[in-house]
Amino acid sequence: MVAEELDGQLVLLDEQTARLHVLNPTAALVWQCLDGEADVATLSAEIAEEVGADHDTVYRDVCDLVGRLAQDGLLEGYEPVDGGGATGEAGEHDSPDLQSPSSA
Amino acid sequence: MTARWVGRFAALQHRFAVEVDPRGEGIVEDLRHVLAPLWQEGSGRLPTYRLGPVPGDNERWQLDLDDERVGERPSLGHAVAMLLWHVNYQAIQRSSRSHLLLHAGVVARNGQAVILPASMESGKATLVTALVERGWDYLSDEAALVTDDPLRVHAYPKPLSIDRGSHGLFPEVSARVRDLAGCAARQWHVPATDLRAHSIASAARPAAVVFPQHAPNQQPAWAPLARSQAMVRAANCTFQWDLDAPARFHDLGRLLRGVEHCATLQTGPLDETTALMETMLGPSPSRASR
Repeated sequence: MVAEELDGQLVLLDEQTARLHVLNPTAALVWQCLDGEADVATLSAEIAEEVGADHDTVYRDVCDLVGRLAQDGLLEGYEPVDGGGATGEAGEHDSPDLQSPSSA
Repeated sequence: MTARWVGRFAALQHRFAVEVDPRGEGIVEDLRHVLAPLWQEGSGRLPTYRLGPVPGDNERWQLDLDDERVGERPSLGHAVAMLLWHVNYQAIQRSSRSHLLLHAGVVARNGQAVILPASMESGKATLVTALVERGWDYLSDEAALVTDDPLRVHAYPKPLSIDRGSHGLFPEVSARVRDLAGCAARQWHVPATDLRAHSIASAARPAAVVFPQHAPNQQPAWAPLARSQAMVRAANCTFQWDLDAPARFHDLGRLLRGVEHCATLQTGPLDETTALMETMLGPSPSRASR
């Protein structure tokens, strides 16, 4: 996975599929914190404290985001946790298909 | 009988020569005129296209590139169209292996380029033609080759390919179109210098990436686009993206960080569309003049 930051948003290239994924600033922050060691509860607590938001709300949103990132193949070692299913306002992202244009 | 020499040319990284069987002598001058912006001086042998009649056939023509048969067509005009298509195809195939090459029109003014990535049948050639007529400099109606250090988009000034459906939009151009043995009935191939003298730029710094969208009976509309969304759209317009996606991905990142504007442009009537571009990007310094 390689990344380019553009105006606070993170665009990820899945090198295996050549697909792009766009993460808004919140999703980008979460994704960058997912280093293979952090757990969602600890990460959520840190984000909630940092931004001054309700911990339960942040936890639900982060669970939902992580689930969707994993569904799109952007994470390894994901194990679903209870508390997901929030509306996902914290980290919507797009995963378009790519096709090389024809030449003529 | 000796084949008639047309000339030596360079279409991006595709360097070639063209010659025509004497029975096609009537199109030699028109071909030279149409391909003039790609003309290249020099000596030494280049891969050579040869247009010639199919042996034993009074009507069909064939196109060869050195010893390789490119194809046969029912008439000389169709064979000329195949030649121009193959030149473009080879230019894109060769040039997109190691560079960022976008399927895009490109115009410029004051050394600042506007890249117009768009799919086929999106109207980009029509838009580019209109912009060049109105004073913008021409770099390409087909492909934007982008290099960095410094960030530049390079000209690929192939003849503008104007489909039959757009011919009525450019009545002043119609008198200058070269027939090319009937090829022009289906598609005009017009060197930019036939639209406006001295209209071809060699290279320019990319200042904007604008995605034209065409739908019938729409009014022109401009909408700023986040660079991240521009990245996704531009990736879909990148030739041979899959060949080296990580390299092209980073090339696009550098391009998009380097431009001032990313936007979509809903096109409409040409006068209003070009006026909208000038409003959003600033006016062209010179109007059309011949």
